[in-house]
Order: sequence, then C-alpha cells, then structure tokens
Amino acid sequence: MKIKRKAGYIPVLAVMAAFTVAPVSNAMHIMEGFLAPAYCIAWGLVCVPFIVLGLRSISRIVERDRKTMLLIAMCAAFAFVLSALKIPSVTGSCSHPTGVGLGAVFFGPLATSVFGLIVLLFQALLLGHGGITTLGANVFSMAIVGPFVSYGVYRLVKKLHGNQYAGVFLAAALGDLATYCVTSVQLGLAYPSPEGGVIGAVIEFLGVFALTQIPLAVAEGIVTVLIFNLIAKYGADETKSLDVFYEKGGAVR
Amino acid sequence: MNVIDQYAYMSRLNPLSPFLKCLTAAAAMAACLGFNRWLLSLFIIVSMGCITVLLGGVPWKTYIRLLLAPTVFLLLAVLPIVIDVTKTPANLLSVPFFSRYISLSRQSVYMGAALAAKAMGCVSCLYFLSLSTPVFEIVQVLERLRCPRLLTELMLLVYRFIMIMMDTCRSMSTAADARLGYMTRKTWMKTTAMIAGSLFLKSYKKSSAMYDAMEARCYDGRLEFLNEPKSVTAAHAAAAAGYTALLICIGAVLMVRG
Amino acid sequence: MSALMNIEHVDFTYSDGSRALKNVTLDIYSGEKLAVLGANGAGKSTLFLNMNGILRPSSGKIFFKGAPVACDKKSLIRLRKNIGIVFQDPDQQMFASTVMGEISFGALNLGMSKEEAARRVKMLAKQLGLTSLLQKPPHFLSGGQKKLVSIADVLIMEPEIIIFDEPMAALDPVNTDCIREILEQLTAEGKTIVLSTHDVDFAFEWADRIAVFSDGNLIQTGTPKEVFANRAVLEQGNLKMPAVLQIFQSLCAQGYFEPGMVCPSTAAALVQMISEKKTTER
Repeated sequence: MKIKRKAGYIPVLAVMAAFTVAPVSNAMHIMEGFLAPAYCIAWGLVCVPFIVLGLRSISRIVERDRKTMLLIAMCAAFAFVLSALKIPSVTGSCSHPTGVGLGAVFFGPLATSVFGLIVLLFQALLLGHGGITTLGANVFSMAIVGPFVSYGVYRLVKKLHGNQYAGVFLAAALGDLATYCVTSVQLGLAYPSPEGGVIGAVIEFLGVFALTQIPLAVAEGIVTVLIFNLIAKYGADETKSLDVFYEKGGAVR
Repeated sequence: MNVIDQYAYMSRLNPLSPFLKCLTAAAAMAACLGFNRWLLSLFIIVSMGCITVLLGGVPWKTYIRLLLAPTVFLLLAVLPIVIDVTKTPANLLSVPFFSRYISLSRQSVYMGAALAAKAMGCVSCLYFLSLSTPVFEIVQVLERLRCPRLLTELMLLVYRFIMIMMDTCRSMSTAADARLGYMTRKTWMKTTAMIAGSLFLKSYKKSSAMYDAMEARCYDGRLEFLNEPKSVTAAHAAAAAGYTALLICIGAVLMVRG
Repeated sequence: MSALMNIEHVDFTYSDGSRALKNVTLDIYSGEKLAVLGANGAGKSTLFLNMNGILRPSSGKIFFKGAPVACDKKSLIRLRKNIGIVFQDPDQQMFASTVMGEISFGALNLGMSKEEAARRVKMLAKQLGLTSLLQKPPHFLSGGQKKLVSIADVLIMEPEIIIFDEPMAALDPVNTDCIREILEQLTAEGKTIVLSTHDVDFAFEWADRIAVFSDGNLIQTGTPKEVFANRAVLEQGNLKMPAVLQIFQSLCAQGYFEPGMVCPSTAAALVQMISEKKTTER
C-alpha cells in the first residue's frame, strides 16, 4: 500500500477548496422542531431495531477486547470534534464535515449506527446542530442509511480489488450523498407539495440542498481518505482486531 | 469552537434536578409540536428565552447567537414549502416557468411562517435544557429511564473524550495560529487537516493509556461513578407544572378559537 | 525492613520488538522511599506497569508479599488494590464527569458500598483541599488541582505501595510543595512510595534509596550518597550531580571541610554546616 507523504496534503486540499463552492455548507441535520410529532415518533421507531442490533454488535466487539470500547468512544468523539471544526470554502464562509463515514469502514454499519446516535445527540446538546425531536429522522439518514451505503460501497470496491483509497473516498462521499437524499425524502414526506405531492416536494428539497451538499460530500470524501491514510501509516498495529486493511484480509462485521 | 456545556455549568438553573428540567423541556416541546399554533410557538420562544437568559443567567448576546445557528437550514428548508411549482398562478406572486408557474400563495407563506415559529419554539426549549443542564446529567436521566447501560457508558466516555480533544484541538490551533497557520485559505485547509490527523493519533494513544489507568483501578467492565443526586423540591416542581399547565391552556384556547 | 515486592530477572519486550526492561532485579521494602531515576525511555514507566500487572513480564518473576503475581482476576484485583499508580498526565487517568465521580471510581470497583465510598471521598477531599471541587468536571480544573484529584483517586483504594510517575512534572513551586507535603504525610502513615523523577536534587534530599535505569537496565541501587558519588553511574544514566553534593565536594576539595564529613541532604543543612564551620573557626 503506497503511503502518501505529508506534502501530498496541499494539492488534495486545494482540490477540496475548489469543490466547496457553497455559501454555507452544513451537513444535513434536520433542525429541532421541524417535523410533526407523528413523523418524529415514526422515524424513531424505524431506528430502534438498528440501534438494538448495533448495541449487540458493539458488545460482541467489546467482549473480545475491552479496550475497543475506548476506541469506539474515541472515534465518536473524533467525529464530533471534526463536525465542530471549520473548513473554509472558496466563497468565504465555512463548512462542517460529519466524520461518520470512517466509522462505517472500521466498525461496520450496525455499530456505527450507535455511535452516530451518540454523535448526533451530542451535536444537538453541545452545538445546537439538529435536534432531539428530529433525532430519529437524523439518526436514520446519517447514522443508518449513510453508513450502510458507505460500508456497502467500500466492500464492493474491496471485492472488485479496486484501489483502497478510491474505496474509502467513494464510501464517504456516496454515504454523504445517500444521507442527503434520504433527508430530502424525509422532508418531502412530511411536507408534500400541494400539487406535486411527495415526489414533487422531494425533488424541490433535493434541488434546494444540492448546492451545499454535493460539494460537501466530495470534501468529506477527501478528508476521510487523508485520515484513513494516517491510520494506515501509524495505527495499523492497534486496529488489528478490527481487521479492515486489505493485507489482513477477512471480513469486517 | 465552543461548546454550550460551559454555560450549563455556570447557569443559575444548574442546581435544579436534571430530571425536572428534561421533563419541562419535553413537555414544552410536545405542546409546541402538538398544538401547532404559531401564537403558542411565539409564546414559548419568548418565555423560554426569558427563563434561560433572566433566570439562568446566560448572556443574551450568546443566546441570540445560538438561536440564529439553525437559521440557514430553516431558510433553505422552508423554501420548498413556501414556493411551489403550480399549474395555475397563485394569489400572492407567480413567475411563469416553462409551462407552469413558480408561485407563492398566502397559505404557503402562512404555513412556512408557522413552521418556522414552531421549529424555533422547539429550539428554544432545547437551549433551555442544554444551557442549564450539563450533558452528563442528561445521560444520568437516560440511565434512570432504563436506557441500555452500554449506551450510557459509551456516552459518558465520549463526553470526556470530546472535552479532552477540544482542549488539545484548541492548543494545537493556537500554536498553529502563532505560526501563521491560518493566514491564507490554503494554509487554513492544510493546518486543519494536519490538526485533525494529529488529533486522531494523539487521542488514539491517549485512549490506550487511559485504558491502562482504568485497569490500574480495577476496572471490571462496568463504569460506575458516585454522584450527588439533585432532588426535586416542591417549589420547583410546582413552577414546572404551572408553566406546563399554562402552555396547555394557551394551546387549548387557540385550538378552540380555530 | 522486609521486602514487600521482589522483582526478579524481569525482561519486558513491547509488541513492536523494543526491549524495554532487561534482566531487572529489584526489591522494594516496606515503608521505604524509593526514587527511580533515568533518562526518558529508560524503562521506568514500563517497570511500574509491570509492577501492578497491567503489563506481564516477557520473562522473570514478580512477587508481592512473598507470593508470585498470578494472572487470574482475583489476584490482579488484589495486586492493583495494593499497588496504586499516579500517572504523569492526570488527564490520562481522569474519565469521569465530576471530581466526586472520578475519585469514587476505584472504590466502587473494589465493591465498596456507595455510602462507604461517599464517606471516603469526602474525607480525602477534605485532606487534600478538594471539597469545593467535588461537583466540578475535570476539564475545568487547573493543572495542580487535576494532579491532586489524580492522587486522591488512587489513595481512596488505600494501597500499600504508591507509585508516582514524575509527580512534579509541569507543576509550579506552590503545587510542588503541596505534593511534597502529601508524600511526607503518606510516609508518616507507613506507605511505601516509589517515584520517578528527573529532579536529582529532590531525589537526593527525599529518597531512602535510589534505583538508576539506563536503556532498560538497572545499573545501580543504593543510598543517594552512594549512587551520586559514583561518576560512572551518573554518566551512564545521564544524570547530573545534585547541586548540594557538587558544592559540598568542591568545598571538601578546597579543604574547607575535613575528610570524612558526611554531605547533608538539603541546601539548608549545607548552609547551616558552612555557617557553623565559620563560627568554630572564629
């Protein structure tokens, strides 16, 4: 596996900057109070089986090696801190990445749903991004669908023996895009257009957020690759039990 | 890059029982969403604002800044509700668009405004909670509500890690700033990526060391800490119940009025 | 003094192949004050983690109170109850959300009841001046306060041997004095103290015995006066001579003191000796 040198950051980040055209880019958290109670509860219920399975998956991982609990907690905290960082965009304001994409590659989508839940809860309580009533909807789009797509894409690329970095990039970027699409669907379902119906509304929401979300997805893909590279370079030893790198082979749960 | 938590520790509402605060916030949010009346939402925005700023002691400038945080999303998300693509021109504003119209109708504007008020009402309830109750106390409430232990333990660990990482991030940022790391857009990007990368590795090693420290104090898989419980006083309970009752009354009256 | 702990021919190699401890044999006596000196990476921290069972020696044996250290859960709990480590970086060992929660962690893990744990926490907080901080979160504390909390959360388990990994690192003089007082108090209570430090003057003044490490090897043990008089050891261990000893030896060489006089441990005592000498000369 070819290791990127630190100097390689600069052109990559220049590309990142070029892509982030939007005036303000924020990952797509549905804000507090935006959905009617019925939808809040419905999306919450949809998430429950995934969270339950996710907790089971985590307790299995932790049973094998108790240290991994700290690693999971640390990754969740890292995802949170990343989302609080500001990256400048070309037009002058800032964007916030999400960070959940990396978790899917390392821990599998089920476990990521749990730590995504924690990250989203903390983002609502500590940063005011997203909300408690919309936690169910946000968890579904950002912590379940997104990671599942990320994981699926990564495994597909791995199976087709594609370049690992391309796999990570596509996993993160497509996961983000999937989140953006699902959120648009959630909003469209809650607020159908009087004439266009749900479909019309979904298209409108997709359109409104496209300008911010598509560049963000690309940017986040690049950031995820950079971090993955760092871990491959310095942390391969410790993450042995997670078995994600090509050389080790084997499956990621 | 400041987290809201610090205000929670300094809040004058901090000594109140976290369970009571969670209950009050939840009840207010339920009333706001349930009744779905813009007057009630407005009342909640103002009353919660007063409670948080005047009773809690949060500086009002900070509070306004926090309230404005979700406005970008709000404006973008409300757009497809207020503006629609219709076959016939609407009663407020219509712009011809191919064979249809991009239109703005009185109902859609009203709906958008009501939605915005409702959302901001809930946001003010959320801020009431997060600006008066430290996160770990909220996690304790979740524990009492029988949330799975693994989840609450993870939350407490994540909370602690977030604080350590924010500290590290801040000092790395300051050091980078002192060495002109944020002067141009290009250097800003580079600095941020390097900080993110080193933060991960540093935290990785720290978490490893932390585990050793936990084992050194006989950690057996269960995270257990002692804490001083904050009991619910009759006065506080009465105030909370009174406020909730007031919201329900207002909501009911507005519903009856139509 | 009886040996509380026997470390015999212990070798330790990390998973990346680096040999951190090479055939180390060391006895630790009950009630003593042992200072472990050596350059960064010499093996001090690795030794400490081997002592309480966090790391297992690659070869060699460790005995505690005569019995070999076993790997089963019960023995490890007993070992870690009795051997506490205060780590150099307080942030490394603090993970609770309040100071009270932090201090109580070890006690609750030992199966203590909540009431007993609460009682002990309050008592320790009073002793260390932490009572006003009990409800505060760790990230709001100053460096010195964090250090005191990290000491409290080890002391609550009432260990017999307390290991301090560079206790005075990054502390200002006021806090350093505070730590010194705590060390004195602990010794008065009969605790065995093992600490690592780079402050040779402090080690010279405080320790009963000194162990010098260099590159994983234990190159010398002995009283402070024995160890610091040995120039070969100082060179190999990358240690400076304590100022008091340097000045005393210089004065002896110039004939100011008679041969056979014993170097005092502190600067204050040396000053006293010099002024007494001056008085007797007059």
